[in-house]
Amino acid sequence: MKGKINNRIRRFRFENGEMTQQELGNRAGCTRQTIIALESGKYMPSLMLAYQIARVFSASVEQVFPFEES
Amino acid sequence: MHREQKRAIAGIIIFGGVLAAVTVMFIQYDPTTIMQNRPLELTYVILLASSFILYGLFYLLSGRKTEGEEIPFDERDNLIAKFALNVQLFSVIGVLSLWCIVLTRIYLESGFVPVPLMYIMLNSIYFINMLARSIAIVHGYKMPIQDLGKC
Repeated sequence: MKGKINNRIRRFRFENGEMTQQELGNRAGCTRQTIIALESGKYMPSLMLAYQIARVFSASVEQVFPFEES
Repeated sequence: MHREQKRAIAGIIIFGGVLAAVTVMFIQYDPTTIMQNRPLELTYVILLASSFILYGLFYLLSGRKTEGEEIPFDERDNLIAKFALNVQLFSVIGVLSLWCIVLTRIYLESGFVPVPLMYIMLNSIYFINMLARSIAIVHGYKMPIQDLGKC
């Protein structure tokens, strides 16, 4: 099965009171540069970081990082 | 910009600059002359030491404390650091291998390698070591992580 993992971090940030990248980074335990790389699709997070980001938004990993089958 | 990127850019500028100066020196005076001339040898040592001291100072000064809850280093930085270490290692091994092959080929007949060449060997390994790491870090922060994982 082939597919692509997308991310909706930017959307979730704005839905959560226009949270800044710095704030999300601090709460998820990563740097602002990593959030920028994630949003631009240049970096695929570890499972641990994906969970931490999803937890900040009180969402599931699947909601923040949806898997798109191709 | 991440502080590791700043340090890497500083590394490229400092070591690149000193490498250029040392190269000019070796072009103007051959290694034997540098070894036999005290002021020239001293200039060479000062150049090498100054690059190390300058980079060390920048490294210490750029390591400022993070504000509040700011995370200074995460998994992506760690991955880039590992990538840079691999590039550094392969570069040094590559340059050393090249030196061994070239020197063996050239001096096989005479049976000895001129001692002043050790200076050029030291130079190349020192600068390749520092430059390869700095370039790999700068490049690592720009390239997609999918590509980084392949290296």
